[in-house]
This record gives sequence, C-alpha cells and structure tokens, in this order.
Amino acid sequence: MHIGTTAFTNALVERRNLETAAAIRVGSPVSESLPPMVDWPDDLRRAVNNASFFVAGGREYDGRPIRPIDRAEISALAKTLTASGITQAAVTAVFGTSYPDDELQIAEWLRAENPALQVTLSHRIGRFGILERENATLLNAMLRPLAERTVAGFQAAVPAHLFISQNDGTAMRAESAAQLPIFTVASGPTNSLRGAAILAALDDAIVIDVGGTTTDVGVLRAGYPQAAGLDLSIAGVRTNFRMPDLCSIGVGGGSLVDAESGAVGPASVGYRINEEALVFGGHQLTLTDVAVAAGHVEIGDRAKVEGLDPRLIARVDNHLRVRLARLLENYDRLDRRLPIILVGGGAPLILHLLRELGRQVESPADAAVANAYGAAMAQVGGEADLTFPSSVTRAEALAQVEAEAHRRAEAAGARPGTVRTVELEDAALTYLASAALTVHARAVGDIGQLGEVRE
Amino acid sequence: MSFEIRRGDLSALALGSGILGTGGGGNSYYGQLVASGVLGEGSSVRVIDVTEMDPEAFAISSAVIGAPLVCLEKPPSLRAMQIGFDSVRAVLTRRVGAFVAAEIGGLQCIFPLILAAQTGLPLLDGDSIGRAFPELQMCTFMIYGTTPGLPMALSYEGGMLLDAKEPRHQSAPQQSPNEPAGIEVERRLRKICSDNGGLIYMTTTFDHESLTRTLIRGSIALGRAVEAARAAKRDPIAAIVAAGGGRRFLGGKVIDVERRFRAGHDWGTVRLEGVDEDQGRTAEIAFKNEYLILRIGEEVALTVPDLITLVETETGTPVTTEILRPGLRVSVLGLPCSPLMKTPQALRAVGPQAFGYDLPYIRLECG
Repeated sequence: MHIGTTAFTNALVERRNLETAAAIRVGSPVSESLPPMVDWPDDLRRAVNNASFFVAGGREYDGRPIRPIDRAEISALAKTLTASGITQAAVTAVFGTSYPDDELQIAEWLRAENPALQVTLSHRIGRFGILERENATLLNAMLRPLAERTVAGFQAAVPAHLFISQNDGTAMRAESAAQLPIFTVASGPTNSLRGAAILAALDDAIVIDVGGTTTDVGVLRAGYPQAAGLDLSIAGVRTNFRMPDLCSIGVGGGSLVDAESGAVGPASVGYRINEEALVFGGHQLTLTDVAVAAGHVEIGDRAKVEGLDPRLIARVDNHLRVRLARLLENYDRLDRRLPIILVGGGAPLILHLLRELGRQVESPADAAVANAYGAAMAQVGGEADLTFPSSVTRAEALAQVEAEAHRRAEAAGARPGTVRTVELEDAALTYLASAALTVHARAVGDIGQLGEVRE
Repeated sequence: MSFEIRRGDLSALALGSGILGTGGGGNSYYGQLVASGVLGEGSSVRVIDVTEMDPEAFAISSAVIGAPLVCLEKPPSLRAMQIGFDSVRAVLTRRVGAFVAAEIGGLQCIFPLILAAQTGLPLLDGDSIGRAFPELQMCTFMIYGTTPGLPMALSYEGGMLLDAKEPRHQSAPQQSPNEPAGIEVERRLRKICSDNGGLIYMTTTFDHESLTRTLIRGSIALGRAVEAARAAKRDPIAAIVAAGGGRRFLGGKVIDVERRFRAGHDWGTVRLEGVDEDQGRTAEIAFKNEYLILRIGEEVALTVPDLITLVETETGTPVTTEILRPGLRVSVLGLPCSPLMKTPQALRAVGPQAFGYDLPYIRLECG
C-alpha cells in the first residue's frame, strides 16, 4: 500500500504543528559567520523559536578533524536541552556528508545523557552545502512529532505494509517516513513524471503534462526525471533537494483565447472551467471551447461553439504550433529527437499539433492519473555522497559510492537483484594541489516482499 | 567618481560579478549572506577611484585562496579575515586609506567590502583581474609587480598561518626567468592551502604608486552597471553587451557537456547549437574552471584573456560551469578584458598558451 501525503508540506507552509528544535552546528570556529537559520523568513523563525549551538568537531575536506569532538561539551549541551524542554535536535557537521562519524558519535552522546531526545543527522538528509543541508535537517526535526502521529494514524487505518512517496520518485517504509518526513514534502511533480514513464513504458522521453492553466514539460532519463540545477525552497527555506527540471508555459484547458489573434493564455479560468467556458454555458472563450469546436474533444455542449469562425481555430492552431515547436526545441539535438509522452487532463487539446510537428507521441490511456500511478508504482532508493583523497583513483571512488548507494537502497527495502544506479556524478575540489573528489550516487530497486525488508 | 554600496546592492554586485566571472568563482550566496549581516540597515560603503585615495596611505586587500566546493562547507569567515587584517595592521608604517579587491569574479570583492564597512574606510573601484582567473600569477599585481616587502599575512579560521611580523616570509621566492612572475608564489600558497583545509585567507598591502600602475580600474562599478542594465531592460542580453562594451556571439542551447578532472581543476568542453536566428550554427567552449576558448563552427572566435561569458537567454542570469546541462538555453557573449591584460607581458601569464592551448590570442572585435 502506497500513500502520498501533503500533511508535512502544509504544516511548514502554515507554520502549524511544528516542534521547537535545537540546531547543533559541529565545526566551531569554522562556519560561525553563517549561523543556523540566517536565511529563514522572520515569521517562521519566530513561530518555531529554535535554539542554536556551535560545538567543536567537524572535518576538513581531507578528513582531518577541525577540532576533536568533546564529550563533556556535548553532555553539558544535552542537559541544557533537557532543562529547556527541547525534544528535537538537528546535528550538522562541517563535511558531515563525507565524514559522518562526528554526527553519529554526537547523537550517541546526546542520547546517553537524554534518552528521550530525538536527533536528526544532516548526513542522512542533505548533500554538500552546509546551510541548505542544515536547513533541511532542521525542518525534518521540526516535523518529526507530527510525522509520528500521522504515520501512526495511517498504520491504524491501513494495516497493510505501508510505503510513502518521497521527493525523488521512490518510496520509503512508513516507519522511515516517521523519522524522515522532509523526504516526502515535494513528491508531486516527480510522481507525475515517473507515472508517465511507467504508463508509456519509455525510459527516455519528453513528458508533456497539460493541465488547466499550464503545460509542464520535463525530461526522463533512465526512467527518472532530469533534475534542475537550482536548489528547492520549502516554505521559504532554501534546501539542497533537487526537483525535476520542469519548464512551464501558460497553456491549459482553461486558458483564455483572444478571439481576434488566436493567442492562448496565460490568463485562465482555472478550476472554474465548468462554469465559465462557453461549452459549459459560461461567457469566456477558452482553449477547451476551441478544441470542442474543432472536434478534438467531446465535452460540454458542442452547440454552444458551433458558430466559432474556422479561421480563428486555424489561428489558434498556428499560435500553439509555434509555441510547442519552440518549447520542444530545448530538448532536441540535430542528431536526436526524444519521443513524447503526453499526459494530463488537457492532453487531447494539443495531441494533433504534436503529430503535425512530426513527433512520435505516446498518449497512454490512463494519462490523466499519471501522478497517482507514479506514487503507486514507486521503487525504493538509496543515496550516498562521499569525498576521496587523490590517492584513490576516480574509478575506485565511483565504484565505492555506487556500492554504498546500492547497499542503502537494499537497507531501505529494495529487493536484491533489482537495484540499479540512476545517478552517478563526481566533482573535483578544484584549486587544491592534492585534488580531492566528491562523488554522489543514487540507486533504486523494486520493493521487496515483506520477509525481505530489513534495516 | 565615487558611489555607495548598501545592503540592497549586494545581489546586484553578486550577479554582475557572476557575469564577469566567466563561468568560474562558484556559488556567491554564502558570501552575500555574510556581507548582508555586516552591512546593517542604513550603513553603506563608499567606493572611490584610486585617484581619490590619499597617496600617502596604504590600501589593504583581503581575499581567499581555495576550492569553490570547499566554500560550500566552510563559508566565508569574518574571524579568519579579521585575524589576517589585524596581523598586517600591527606592522603597518602608514595609515590604511582604503581596501581593494583582488578579483571581481566570484564575489571576492566582499572581503574588502566587509572590512570597509567595519572600519568606515572606502573601497577602491577596481581589482587585479577584471574577471575571474584561477591562479595568482594571473593578476596584474603579480604580472606588473608591486612595491616589494609590504606586509602580508595568511590566516584561516583556526588562527595565523603566516604572521606579517615574520620578515623572512615576506621576500618573493626565486623562480626560473622563463616562467611568468609569481608562479612560484602561487605554487607555495596552493600547497599551504591544500595542507590547511583547502581554504585560506590572504591579506596584502599596496602603496598608491603600485595601485595606480597595476589596478584594473572601474570593475566594481562595471559589475554593478552590468547587473543594473540587465534588471532594467526588456532584452537583458543587449543590456549586458552594451554595459560591458562587448558582443553577442550566439544564442543557442547546450547540447552536451564533457568534463574531466586533471591536476586539481575542472576541465571540460561544452557544445552548443544555435536556435532562432542562429539556427544551424554551432559553438564549442573549452573551460578550465572558467570559459577559455570559444569556437564558432570550426573557427576560433575568441580566447582568454577576453571574457567569454554564458548567460541564460531569457533572464541574463550568469551560467557557471557547474550548472551547465543539456537543454539549457544560453547566449554566448564576449566582453573585452582590460588593456592591462593585453600587453605581451600579461599575455605570457593569461593568454591561451598559459592555459596549455597552442593558439594565438584572438582579441574581441566589436561591431
């Protein structure tokens, strides 16, 4: 059983049901000029009233300690948290993704002093980039009590083995979601793209999702969305999660059509289409009305658009053909054109135009529900980010990180033998005489049977 | 011609320095955050031309040496910068008249800007590169030489690495006359940097005579002007080209990016195909941290030290080498480098051959 949920996103956006957390930055004096939450919206900072602490620890790029971690300092900190009634800690160490030992040790010392304290560790949450990783770690800590309640509610209602959709298009076990709710807050667009891939049985394609107000375009590579280069903000807080690289134009079923020029959008009647479009007895000329008049779709009362000038229909087609061609050009190469998967409620509105442009188009029968399908067919995944000194060859480094991502995918519940790598990237720490390499890998696999799932 | 920089100007300064950064310099977000914490409401920094500076005073430069990726875990440190400045200030024989940036690209100008804000002294409108370059011998301070023996210090978050009061460290190291001036200094500093966490802070001192001879003047104002033009105009590309006195070479999209890592640098090639009016044309740009060589079709169209800069066609936002990806719509622009970078002496350090390309310098022809 799979569930996608917006409960955590809503809590962050509405600043409700959030727990006060302690931000523990490990690396003093490194990074002190950029204290925790420095770039948060004021109202969120006020709403949660988090505390900030800098402690010794953290590593240099080559793994040497900045200063050794100090048990006495951590024990004193745990007592302070107990005294102030704080139940959530977010621990972020400098170079923590590459060298997680300090974060793990600090968590153990904190819990030894205060067994009730829940600790979120940054290396489990984010990637390279200390502030964005710390932000996501803190948001996760603030969401944990709500996540525990929500998941317990799901489990009480649905006794089946429960999986919850996450941002990257994979799913995780409900028990993990209770600890890592931040991984579920932005799963919508990814699920749509994943669902399209599964429905059309294509791994490399352009996905065009035609909605009521916009048409969103994304690219699938090896069955997963191509990620955007930019970082994602959640409730005004910058994180280093990646969203699918989506390009939107203001064309949808509810888009207003200019009766003279045939120009479409970006203004739209949106969800009021069932009242405002001509075919539904309204007074606005929408793209849906034009499509009904042209015979591309049968919806509403066709008699209401019988009088539409055929020359206007041609102008609308011309207008959209130019815009679609321009949009698709972003993804084409002189030597290669990807097939198109057309999904969303407005898919029939532009199908004929894509065919006229000479494109291979798959429009799966269940295209309108690609999102739900993506959530239901989710796989489970694992990610790893590690840093290597120059004594390790690039090939060895890549192999090690790939193996670690596979191991984590299996630990998350993937069936051994079905796990494959979907991302493998390396970046050099440039300008250093001893060139060091950071490697990122992500692997996914099918969800294992009950008996195979292990921690 | 002086002007003021306030907190609200920082993002413009960062975007302008990104455009002049020619693909290098990494992420400037942390630098902006630290600077905006220092530049409080109502405070500002006066930016002046070197001719407006007291000729009897010294100017102090503060800059970081290290890896852009390390900056993502070790953000700019006010403490490390202050340790270096205090060390130099303790041995100065003249008063400090201004602060000066080593490099406009990659927002290196925030360090002297922060010191200027903290002390109430002005920032000079200029730098020693006028763009971004990866190594120390590629700056005009090294190419033309500045008054030797003035105090310098190296510091990091943990303290001093080289104290200005240690005189034995202050003389320039010996090196082969066949190599560009300063290359041995670069090698030594790179080693110190690698051994001390990958990011170190360098504080240096310049007198008025050295600065009037070597400073690339107006680069802070240019960074701001480029961004202001981009923000104000409907066509951001035309605005950048006009503000920088340059030329648009191609509007296209990224087809593929090939990267390889060698000797501590990010080398690679990005291939583009033209769109719209440039349909059917292709371009290829070689980069080593920064964009170095532009080919249009088979022809070499532009080389270092002139600036090859990529911006998103819709917005004019600079595109660094890290965010290149297939499908991105970009415009390839050329902007002229400073005349100080075009002399035979400078071209030894910053021409195509200094980057390992057996090509002559193809200078930017406008219009």
